[in-house]
Amino acid sequence: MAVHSHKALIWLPFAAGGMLAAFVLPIMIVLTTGFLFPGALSYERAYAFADNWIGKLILLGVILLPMWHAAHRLRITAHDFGIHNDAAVRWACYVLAGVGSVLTVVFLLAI
Amino acid sequence: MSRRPYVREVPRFTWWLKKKFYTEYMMREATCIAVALYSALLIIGLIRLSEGQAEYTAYLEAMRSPLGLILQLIILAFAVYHTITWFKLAPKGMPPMRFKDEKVQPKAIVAAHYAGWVGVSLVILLFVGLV
Amino acid sequence: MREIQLEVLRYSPETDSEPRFETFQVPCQEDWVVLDAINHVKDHMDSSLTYRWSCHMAVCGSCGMMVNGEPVLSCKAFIRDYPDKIRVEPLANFPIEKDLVVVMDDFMEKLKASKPYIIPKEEKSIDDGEYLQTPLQLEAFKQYSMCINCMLCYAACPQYALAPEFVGPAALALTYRYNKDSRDGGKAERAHMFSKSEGVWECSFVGACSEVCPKHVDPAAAIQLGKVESAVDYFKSFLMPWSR
Repeated sequence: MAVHSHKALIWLPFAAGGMLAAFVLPIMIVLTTGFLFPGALSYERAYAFADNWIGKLILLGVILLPMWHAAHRLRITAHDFGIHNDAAVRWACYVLAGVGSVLTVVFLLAI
Repeated sequence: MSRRPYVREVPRFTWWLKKKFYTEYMMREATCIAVALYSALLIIGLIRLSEGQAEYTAYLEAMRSPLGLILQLIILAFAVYHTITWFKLAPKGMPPMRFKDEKVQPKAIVAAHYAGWVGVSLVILLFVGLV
Repeated sequence: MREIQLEVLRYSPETDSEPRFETFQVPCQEDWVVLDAINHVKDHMDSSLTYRWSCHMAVCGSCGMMVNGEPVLSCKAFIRDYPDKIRVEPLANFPIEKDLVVVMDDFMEKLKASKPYIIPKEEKSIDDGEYLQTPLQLEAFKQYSMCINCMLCYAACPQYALAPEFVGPAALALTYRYNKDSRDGGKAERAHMFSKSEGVWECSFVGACSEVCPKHVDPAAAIQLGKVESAVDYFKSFLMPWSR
């Protein structure tokens, strides 16, 4: 076990989130801009979607996976941009993603 | 005869501007900023949704204000660039596959991803538009 | 006959404080490669010019250098594909020993530590017969076995430039090649180089290694697949501690 880097732990959500983002983010952005079906995200419909376990699970996936993908990629990219203090960058990226995750779970449960 | 190797320094902050290949790579990596921003927008929307109708409607109006639209269009451009670059590299992340005794070519894998992208997008549109 | 301006980066550890370019006017034959032009300089203009080469047919992997900024085998770089001004430098990301010769100790140490040879699953005596392998089992690693250790991938890799402790494309691809060999049982012995932070995880999938590889090894693919396997092994070691 000692030989394995802990980067392995974060890499799976990174890869899954990258894949999910590639497939669904563009169409999601088109919908949130309201260019197509502007009425589709009305309060009643959005609430009804988030009010059941399937909807909650879908929202959890499309928010958290791309976010952790972005957090990990940002850590790597900071190094590429010349910021070589990986310990500080790592904490900043993962703590932010952690806060985002807690908020998502808490408010999904609140609906 | 004495060894005195000469080390050429790599410019720490600007190396990626030296070659188009590296610049494109950095653009690909920078898409994560747009993805992170959009995740933040979604989380804000979720919080507003839990707060009530007035708050959520105000959020939706802000998303569709000129400023909100410009921000989302920039995010959209980066998101599409992420999709294109992700699909381009997808064949390298997959173990060798065989179909009818033939090796599956990288081009076919990329094409399958694009077909899947169109399919997924249509399914989401149909669901949102009809249900 | 075409005359080109060959700009060569020169460095003599005994007399120079830093490298400098020297330009030679070289009359070239139509079918010459860059290595021929360099040989012409050595034979007719300046016999002190120092560089490595051997086979002149893209097999030995000795003559890698930067030609107009790109890492190539100079025996495979045809003059006719280049403009009249050709700039030749030693491979990027390696210290310069002299002229076009680089110090390759770092690569050699990493290659050796990666154990790129078959560590048999089960020892067999000659009387037991040969190790058998199906064409499908061969296909699982054949492409990665084409590596000639020319180090072009290291010269192309920005992560190796930024973090010299990175094991690097060729050594990782060769590790993957032996890990995937059906006759091999040495994966655990190679993990200390392969799965560590400076192993596959230092790679950010720039992909430049695969672009410049003269033998189409595709080290970037080997490393990505290595990440998947390494991540699976990581979780296995948590869920099934007895498996190690």
